[in-house]
Amino acid sequence: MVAAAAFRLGIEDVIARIARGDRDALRAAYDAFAGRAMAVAARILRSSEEAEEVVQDTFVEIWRRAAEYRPERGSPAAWIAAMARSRAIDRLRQRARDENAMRTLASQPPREPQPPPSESTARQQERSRVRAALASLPAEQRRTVELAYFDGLTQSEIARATGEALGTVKTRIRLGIEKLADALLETPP
Amino acid sequence: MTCGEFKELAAALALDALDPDERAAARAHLAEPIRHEGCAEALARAEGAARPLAGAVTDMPPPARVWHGIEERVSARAPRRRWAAAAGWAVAAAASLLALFLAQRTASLRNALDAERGRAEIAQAQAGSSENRARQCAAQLEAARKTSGLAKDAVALLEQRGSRVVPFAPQGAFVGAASAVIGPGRRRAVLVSTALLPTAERDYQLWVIPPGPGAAPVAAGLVEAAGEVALGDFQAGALARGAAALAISVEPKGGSRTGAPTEVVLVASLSG
Repeated sequence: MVAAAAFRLGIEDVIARIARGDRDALRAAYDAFAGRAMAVAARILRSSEEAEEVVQDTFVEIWRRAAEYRPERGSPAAWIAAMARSRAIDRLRQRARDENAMRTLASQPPREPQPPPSESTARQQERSRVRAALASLPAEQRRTVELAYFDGLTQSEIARATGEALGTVKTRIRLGIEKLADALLETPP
Repeated sequence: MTCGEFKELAAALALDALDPDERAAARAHLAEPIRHEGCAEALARAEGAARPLAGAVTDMPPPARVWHGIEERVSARAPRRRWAAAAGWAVAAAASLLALFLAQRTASLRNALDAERGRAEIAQAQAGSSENRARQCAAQLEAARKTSGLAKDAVALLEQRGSRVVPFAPQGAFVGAASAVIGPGRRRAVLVSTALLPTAERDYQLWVIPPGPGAAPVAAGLVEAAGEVALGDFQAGALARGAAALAISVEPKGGSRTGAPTEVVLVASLSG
């Protein structure tokens, strides 16, 4: 059921229909992508309540700006997740950072929730593909990229949280993203 | 910043993991009208690797109240569509102004915009045709000038000989367009957009990036709402030192607390 309507319509058609003011299409996009937006925001903010607000803001923004979607800048799923992540990071960076909390975050990766029972096979395959690409990185590079992407830390914050030199963090991010790009190219969706 | 230095930072920029000053410097470098050594390509590759990462999470379907909140909020407003459709009424209202404006200035405006596109690769993808850009800007101002003194000023600026319209290029995941009406001699610049309306939580801040390597962005005021249009008057003092580019950042309410841009969302090169 989840995402079925969006896939039946064709994902990019859904965005085009939202741009024409079709609320059913907005609902279809929500069913397909709100779970991912929520997970990304909740991981960054460590707060379900705030993540819910981010998801709401994100889909209201999609309603207003669907006409500005450009397929060449990424899939609708990536566009929506990037929007949610960006809003979550905005909120995170308005907070005073707690150095102890950052250190805890760096030392304890969060527990993974169970996938929703209604998850599609395509979504399972996508997650496996991206996780396999991440798993192909050396452990330090993977963890540094994860702290930046999933926890919203800057390079300086990662250095403080992990006790590594800033130069080391920068190198790990650069090499990690290069290897990730190669790994994702080797296993196209 | 050199192209080599930029490419070292491209991965962190794609992950939004740079500190504000580094991020502003990197964005300013990307907007610089120089012969780049693969900067845009390096960033595109890094973004191509970073973008799919959201696919690694385990989805967390939000509770029903989230959808109900969205429904309530979208019921209050129609979606903002492409300019040609959504601003049709405003374009019609502005027809007489445009006819005069375009008759006098179409050639020079088109040249200016075309030259700008040639210099800013990212802006090229986003700018649309010069005619649409001019139409958008004039229509936005026509609607706003009934209530806003700054919109009236911007219309007057557009009509001045030697003024030009410069498109901003969106940065990172930001979606939305904006233009700056630049007066003769760059003594005045006014931002015009529908994508930058301040909210209760955040403001958009204007920045002038002076010429020269490593020059720090200069704060130049906040974006203000005039109905459905966002306007920003780049402060004369900030422009007086010269400008290689203009930038807009998203900030906590009241503006940056560090003196540097927190999150640059739009950049416009002012070369030429």
